[in-house]
Amino acid sequence: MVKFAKIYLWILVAAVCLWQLPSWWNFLTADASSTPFVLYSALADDFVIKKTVDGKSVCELSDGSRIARKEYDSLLPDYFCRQLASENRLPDTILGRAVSLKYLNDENLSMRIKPEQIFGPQIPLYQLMESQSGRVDLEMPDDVFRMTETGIEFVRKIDNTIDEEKSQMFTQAFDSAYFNFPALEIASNLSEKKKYDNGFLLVDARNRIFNMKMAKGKPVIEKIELPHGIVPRHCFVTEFAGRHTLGLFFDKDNYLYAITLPAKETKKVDIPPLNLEDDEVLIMGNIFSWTIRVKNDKQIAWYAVDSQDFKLKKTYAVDQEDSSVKGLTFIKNDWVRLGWR
Amino acid sequence: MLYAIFYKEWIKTRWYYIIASAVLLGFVCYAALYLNRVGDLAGMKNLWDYFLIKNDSLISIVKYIPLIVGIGGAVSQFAPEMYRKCLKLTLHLPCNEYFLVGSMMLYGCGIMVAVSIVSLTILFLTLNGILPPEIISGILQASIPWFLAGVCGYLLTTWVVLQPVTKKRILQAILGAFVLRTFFLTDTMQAYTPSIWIFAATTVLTALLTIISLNDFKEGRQD
Repeated sequence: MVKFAKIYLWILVAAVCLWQLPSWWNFLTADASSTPFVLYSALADDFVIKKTVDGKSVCELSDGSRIARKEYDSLLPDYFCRQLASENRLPDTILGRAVSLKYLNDENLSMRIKPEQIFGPQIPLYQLMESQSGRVDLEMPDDVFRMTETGIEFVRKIDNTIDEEKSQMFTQAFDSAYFNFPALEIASNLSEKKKYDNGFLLVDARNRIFNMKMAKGKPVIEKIELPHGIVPRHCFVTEFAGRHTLGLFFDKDNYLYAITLPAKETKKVDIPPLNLEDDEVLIMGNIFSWTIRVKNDKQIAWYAVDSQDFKLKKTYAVDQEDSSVKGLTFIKNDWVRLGWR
Repeated sequence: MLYAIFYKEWIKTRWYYIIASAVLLGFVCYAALYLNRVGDLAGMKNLWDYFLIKNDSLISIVKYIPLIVGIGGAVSQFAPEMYRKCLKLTLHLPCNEYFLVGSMMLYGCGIMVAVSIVSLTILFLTLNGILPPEIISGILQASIPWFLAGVCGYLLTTWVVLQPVTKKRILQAILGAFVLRTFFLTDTMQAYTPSIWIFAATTVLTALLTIISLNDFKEGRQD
């Protein structure tokens, strides 16, 4: 018995040391390193980079040639349109397209996808906003819904009772759209601050994507046509001001796709498959291109894709200097899980 | 014999456990009442939105109370034994010493588990009418590691208190603090769910550690 107890004690001691010592070492020896800010410039057909060198902010192109701050702003007229407008330097046309401050502002987009968004814990209750309320601002609904094995069930927040009528109406709409329950993926972008509502993207039991919205209290359920062989897994609804996309999704092989508007066409985003468990994705787009940053412990890669057909234009990558000591961790993607990192 | 030990422990610690359990259950009732009042005052809609958007259990006022009750329980039960040197007499009873100390710990653990079950039942019953099962399940799953920490804290404190060598006692307390820290890593609802069995197993196995202190005590190791 004493032997067993001592073995268990040493297991605990080892676990605590493997957990605490690396984290303290990494905390005490961590360098102040910052991620460079990189965007693709359609004007330069190159990535322009802003980073800190010896405590000073410098701007450069991907080949390392330095550029002045004003030139940097000019090469990114979409992103710095307000700055350029304040200096009366905003051009009337960019690459032959007439632009204005409002147009550029509206067409700019940004979106972040973190592993915990996909894999983190979530209460399986969802909120469907009214997308045509007639009000300028969106409002949180008075009910939530859950997807069951056979349908959709709305529950009123006020008294925790099921709204049978609405549940039946939406379930019938799903049946009419040939949606096969249960839903494998349920995604939305819940926020009162967004400018409009694109509802939900759902993947049914036969791996087909559907868009669900509520318009004037009625269900609007539409199947999204997918090219043959694509098995969608993780969906993200987009509600960018430019209204050129309905959403993004990763397929089973972790390739990224965009569902464009108004045609609701699915287009493959021409970047390599990601490791969604570890990669953090940041998308910053404008009228000409999207810069997609993929960041993990080993590398930061930037992919510039065309904002219309999502074909790859250029890539840029820097290796992450990972001098940290690996140790036992308890948190991964917001779950408490033993891991080694 | 088991009942006799339970009775002896009850005589020794009854006031502590009555008061501590009342305090714990009071905090649990307050947390449940707080959720009900927030629902009444801010509106059920806002309460539901808070749970669904923040993914926070909103009962963190209860968080450290089971741990405090567990640590206090072990101190109230075993510190007098060590201070008055009664443990030596207990170990001289015509019975296996592991059984004797194990029975004393079973008494303390039993009370901790019983109070935890009552607490979780109170939470479930008071929230059942106003919140859907998904949110109630999230709240209960968020609080289970706190109640496990109460039991684990009780067992670790027993291990520390029964250790006769002061230097070892300090090292054990430090190790125990780190072990207990793992029960409070996040407030996110359901975050502990996939690994809760690891924490439950850790808690159960922690009872083994007392054997080490008991062995040191039996062998007469002292400062």
